Amino acid sequence: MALYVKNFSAGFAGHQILKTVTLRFKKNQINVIVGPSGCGKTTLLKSINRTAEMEKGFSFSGEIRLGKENVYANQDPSVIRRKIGLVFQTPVALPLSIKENVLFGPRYFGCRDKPKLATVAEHCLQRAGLWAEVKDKLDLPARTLSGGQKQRLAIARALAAEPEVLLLDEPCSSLDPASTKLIEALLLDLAGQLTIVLVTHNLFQANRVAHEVIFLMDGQVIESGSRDQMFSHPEQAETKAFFSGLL
Amino acid sequence: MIRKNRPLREPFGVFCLVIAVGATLTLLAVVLFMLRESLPVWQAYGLSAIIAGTDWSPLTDPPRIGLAPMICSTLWVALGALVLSVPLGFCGAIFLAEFAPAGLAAILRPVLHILTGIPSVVYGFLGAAVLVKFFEVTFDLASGESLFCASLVLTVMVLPYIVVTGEAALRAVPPEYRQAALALGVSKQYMTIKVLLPLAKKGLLGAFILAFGRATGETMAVLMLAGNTLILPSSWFSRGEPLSALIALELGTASAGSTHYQALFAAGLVLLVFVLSINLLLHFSGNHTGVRRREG
Amino acid sequence: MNWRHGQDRLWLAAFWGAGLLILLILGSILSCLLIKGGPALSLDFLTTGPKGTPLGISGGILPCLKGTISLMAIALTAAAFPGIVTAVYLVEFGEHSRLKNIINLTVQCMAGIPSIVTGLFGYALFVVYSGFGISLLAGGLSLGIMVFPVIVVTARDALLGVNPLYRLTGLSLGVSRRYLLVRVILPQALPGILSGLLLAAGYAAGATAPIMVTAAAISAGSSGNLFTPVMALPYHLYILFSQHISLENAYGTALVLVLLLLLLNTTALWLRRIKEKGA
Repeated sequence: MALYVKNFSAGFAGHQILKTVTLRFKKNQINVIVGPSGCGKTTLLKSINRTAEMEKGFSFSGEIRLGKENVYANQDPSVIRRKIGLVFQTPVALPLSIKENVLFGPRYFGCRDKPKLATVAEHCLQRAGLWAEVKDKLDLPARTLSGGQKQRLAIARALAAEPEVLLLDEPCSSLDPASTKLIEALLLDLAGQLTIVLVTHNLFQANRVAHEVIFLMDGQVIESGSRDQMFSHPEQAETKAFFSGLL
Repeated sequence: MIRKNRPLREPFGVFCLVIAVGATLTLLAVVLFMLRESLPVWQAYGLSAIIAGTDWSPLTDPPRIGLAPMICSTLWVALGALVLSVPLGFCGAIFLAEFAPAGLAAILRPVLHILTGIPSVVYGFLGAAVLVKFFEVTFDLASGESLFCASLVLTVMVLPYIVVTGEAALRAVPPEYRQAALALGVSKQYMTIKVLLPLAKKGLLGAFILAFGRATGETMAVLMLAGNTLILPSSWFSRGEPLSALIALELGTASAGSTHYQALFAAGLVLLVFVLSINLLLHFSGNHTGVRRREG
Repeated sequence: MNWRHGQDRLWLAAFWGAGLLILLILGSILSCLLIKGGPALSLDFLTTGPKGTPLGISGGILPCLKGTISLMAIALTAAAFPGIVTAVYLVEFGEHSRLKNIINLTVQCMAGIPSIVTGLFGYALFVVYSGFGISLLAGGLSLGIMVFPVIVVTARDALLGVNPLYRLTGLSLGVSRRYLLVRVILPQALPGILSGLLLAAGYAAGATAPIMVTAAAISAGSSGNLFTPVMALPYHLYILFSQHISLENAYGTALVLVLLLLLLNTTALWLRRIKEKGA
């Protein structure tokens, strides 16, 4: 499902972070947001899946739509959170077994059937590229996993809720190069199946995985376009300056 | 701009809210009850006559219910305890936070924890059985009980609170200040007094107020040590009967609804208002004893 | 410069002096209890009732032990549920609301209410108005009011101590707060909450002033009837001493009371340690 952000501004307790952002995230593509730290990348992601409103003094204006559905229309944010998964920068393993981490969402959404749950767990772990490593220790506490494994577990857990969009907030920033590589490959695999929005501060990573690139600075979209266009022929001076780090 | 910081209102949340509000209303109920039960005497005698009256004989006709001797006793005991415990407690807190060798601190801390758990009746008992005896024998007194004795035992009781809270306040000072100060070549003592103490001021004030509240409301220890006489205490070393001891001793004999009963609730209300104002003072002086910091 | 040195030494002496003096006071209190109470302690002391005239001059403290445990149980039964639920509201549902601040302040104020005032309130509400009379139930409920803020504060801190990322992660999956609470937050906070309950139990067991006016009797059978007065350790101690009945048994009772509280408090501390290690 494509995701539209229209004239969206947001901030905390009067301090504005996003300034009339208008964007389109393409369906079943990897949309990469890059920009200097503090530019509002994380706030944008949290606004999209409505976790920003858990923080103190959050306010916004404008619109975010998932397909035709207004993300902020429903009083209950959990509906949209289920459709738009979010993976955080720090890998978080819930204090449950590996399997129960994956089944955390499905159990809540009413699946009671044991064989079905087992299938869901296997399927999601496989999609997250973790199955081979953990299939013999599904009942061990998830905290025994390494950082890279935890991050893939987080992706599996998000996938188990059957989201239409997956948001990832610098998912590799605390991981070693090998784990980073695994996750990048995984994202490329997933891209055909769901819309991915990846925030990264790593331009090399953006270059490796992006279909679309969005450059955000000071809470505003400076420029967006396909990867080739953005990396080879950026139009704005700020974009050129920022991307010159790569050139 | 649309504000979206409303907490999620799922049914279970509403349930929790209702219970929380209901339970919290008990505090209001306590205040209201004290007020309601004592209202007749406030109306009949007036605020100043009760607070400033020095004569307590609720069973005579007409009853006299001056609370001044008890209020004075309460203040003597509590302030006396603070005078003794605050310097000792703050020095102890500084010792524990900055100077104590690790081994000694490892003994002192659990012992302090144990002592906060000892009930006041045990302190009162030990004070009466050991301290009062000591005074009687040493100074050849007929009876060693006095407000001073009660203050001494209260000192020991509130000491752990002061040390623990004070240490926490000192530890909350970021280490950069210490390094910056010590880098100038001053001694650790100088740094502690000139740099740490001012920075930990609020936390230490909190410890002070907490101790004052405890000392004011304490019942069993003062009941067993203050001597229980209803005359206006003339000095720290006279005998007296603080408000809490008065209530504990006489409630059992006052029949419900009598002037005596109402007068005891008036005493309770005075004590309650006093302690609540101390607590609110603590709250509005901006010290939230660490809770806020964790939430942030 | 010399003057500075002298002052430094003086302060150092003050700090060390205070530390050692505190240790000395604390040490002498504990050893005094052990030395004087130890001889009174025996299996008989714990398993028989008080005997003699006046009552308590010989014999043990069994009914007091039973009474204290019953009072503790009633207090916890009454206060644990509302206390924990209030803490859950404060941490999980009350975010950024003004009501949360009001409840927090009220709980803090409740914690400061002198126990004798709680007793007075319990006397008016339970003994007089509800017609329970001086009874186990009236005392237990009064103690429940007294320990309520302790339970709220410890449970709240236990919940606040749970890794906030669990909350963020769980909720970002679209589950309800109740589900998240039951599956993740409560199991994580459980040792802390239990530890708080034990502390509250200890606080209730040692409180004398409230039960003195609502529940305690110098002598009572251990029938377990909710509507009759009970004997309790702290009150028994007070009576043994203040009526000059038996100093030896008073020391014994004090020691038993302190040991009981020590047991509760160390278990509480141990539970909190487990949690710190597990996290």
